[in-house]
Amino acid sequence: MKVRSDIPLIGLLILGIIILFWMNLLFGDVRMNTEDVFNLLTGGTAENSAWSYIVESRLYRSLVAVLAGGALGISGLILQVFFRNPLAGPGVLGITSGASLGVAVVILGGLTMGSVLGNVGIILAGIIGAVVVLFLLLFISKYIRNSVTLLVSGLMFGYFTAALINVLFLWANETDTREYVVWGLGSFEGLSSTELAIFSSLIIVLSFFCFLLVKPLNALVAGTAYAASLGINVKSTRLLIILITGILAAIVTVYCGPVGFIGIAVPQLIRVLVKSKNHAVILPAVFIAGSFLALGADFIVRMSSNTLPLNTVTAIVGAPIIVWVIIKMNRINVSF
Amino acid sequence: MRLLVRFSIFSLILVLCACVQHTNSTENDISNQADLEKVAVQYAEGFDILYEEGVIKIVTQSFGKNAFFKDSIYVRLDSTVKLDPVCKTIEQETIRFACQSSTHLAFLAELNHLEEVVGLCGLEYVNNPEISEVLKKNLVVELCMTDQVQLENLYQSNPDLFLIYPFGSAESNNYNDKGIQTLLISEYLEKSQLARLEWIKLFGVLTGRTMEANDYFEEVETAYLALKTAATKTEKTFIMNLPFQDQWFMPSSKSVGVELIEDAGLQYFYQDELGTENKTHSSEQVWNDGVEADYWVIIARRSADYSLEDLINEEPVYKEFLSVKKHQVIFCNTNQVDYFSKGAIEPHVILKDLCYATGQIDSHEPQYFFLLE
Repeated sequence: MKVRSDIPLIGLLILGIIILFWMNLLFGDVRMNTEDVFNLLTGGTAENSAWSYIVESRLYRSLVAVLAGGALGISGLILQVFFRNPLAGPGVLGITSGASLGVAVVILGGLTMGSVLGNVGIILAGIIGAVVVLFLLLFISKYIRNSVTLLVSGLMFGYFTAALINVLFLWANETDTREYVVWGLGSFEGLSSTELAIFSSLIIVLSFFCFLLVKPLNALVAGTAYAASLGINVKSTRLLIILITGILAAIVTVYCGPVGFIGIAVPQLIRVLVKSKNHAVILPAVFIAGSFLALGADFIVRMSSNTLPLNTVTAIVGAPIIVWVIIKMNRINVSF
Repeated sequence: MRLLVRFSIFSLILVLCACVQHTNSTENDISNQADLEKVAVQYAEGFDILYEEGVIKIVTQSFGKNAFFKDSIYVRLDSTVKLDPVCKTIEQETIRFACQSSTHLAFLAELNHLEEVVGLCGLEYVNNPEISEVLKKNLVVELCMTDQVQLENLYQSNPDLFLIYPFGSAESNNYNDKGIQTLLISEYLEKSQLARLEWIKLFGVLTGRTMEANDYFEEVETAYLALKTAATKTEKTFIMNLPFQDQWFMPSSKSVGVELIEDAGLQYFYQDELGTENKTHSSEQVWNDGVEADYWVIIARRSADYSLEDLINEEPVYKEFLSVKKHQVIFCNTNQVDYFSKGAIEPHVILKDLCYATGQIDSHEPQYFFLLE
């Protein structure tokens, strides 16, 4: 019954994504009419030969936003359930920072995302950085029962990796430093068709694995002891959660920069808006809401002629949502 | 009380205005020598040279809409001239310099005064091998480990004069308080290449090589103006630079760089964007315009064998650009040439490169800009 009552919200979000996606294709610094855009999308031509590349770029960018936003959303949701903390997320727990350190080592070491070696190196380094931080957090969580303390530990990891990155800056040349700084501002733009293929394949496969975690997630909400009593292998589930969320956050961070707030704001918002407690509903709803928020943020960035960094927009949109949700959760006493 | 304050302010103004304490013993041939070597500023708006008895006063200042700043220093020609201790003073020809910009090096190198450089910001970015060798040989101190000047390194270099940028000019007071004399140098704010080059006259006064500076300026000015006059004005347009992520930092139509290319007979595509600062354009805007622009002038750091094909590989849409189709991409590889430093004092060479690349002159060996093949 509760699932049915959530269908209008999910439907509305999907409709919002379709509208925003089309707006992203249609509007930009170069004005094109609907007919031209439609023509180009269906393999036709337009009066300006660069327009096909512009529409392609807008299309790729929108696809990246949908997938990245969704991935960050579900990654945040799973981490919040796993750590039983509504303020957990890839950014807060230091996972994004770990991935950033991996990326920094590669970029400031002189390899760029344009080269094959650079591409592979950055992806691997990002994933290793993110997963290492998650394992460290997991290790610490054995000794820390207080979830707030665990979050503070995550923040400390973030500061520590930021300090290491600053040290790396001293040895990097001007071009590499600039490349890293711009990457750090976040953007859904600039992926080639090959990069988009790799990015989307990884996100889709990993998101699929996330949906296989629905049952364990529903059980983990009530605690590990309850989950174990239901026959769930807590140890392997924990490992799976760490790997999947770590890699998801790392992939997005590598390709789009450390995009903040979506991973923490969207799951909280959906928990308040969705009536069902079943993760079979919450998980897709979070993915769709994350995509919607990311697309909306990117639309604002594009309307500013790309002068506003993506992270600025996600912070402006995301931070009030988090504050609002925290107040609301305190009032209705939502727990994990 | 109010009277006391007014009196104090009046006294302070008097002290500042009367920095030079003249003596009666300056009747020698210094004034005659100064007459011969006097500097007349024709183009530059950011500095002035004032001749007084036994001293030369150098004034650097902001102009137009630039942030306000003003600085001055006295170059003492006669050791018997007494100057007020509050005034910045240096003895000509014996100055050891610390520089915040490698552009300052080009001026000093042209006046054969590189040996007197003791500190520099960005030693590793000096890509002129001759200059770099001299700096290494003289154990010049790196002043900026990050983008900040390291005070200890500055003390270690022990300069007589630290040439600094005016942005963050409040810092100059700090250096002066710590016993390091500074002079604000803002040649990059000038509105034309010749005005920018004219700052060599200021360096001439500082180093006691006024004649050489005047001669060099006149020589370049003549060559530059001759090329500019000979260049045929065309309707052909150009765009500039390469993007960083999704943003193109395109100069405004009144910038010095644009003016230089326009002197070669081309027209800037974004003529309507007035001002001198860089303006941000989105990639899609430039992609849209690049299809129409006849030329594409790129100043970038790339590998030595960088080609047109490499450019297209960076972004496939470039093959749709008219300039790429017509092989009219004019490229300056800052990895190979000292464009940002030496280029500032050789605008005539750059203009000749551009005239050659646009077919205005038949034979020339390009030094900074060449057509990308």
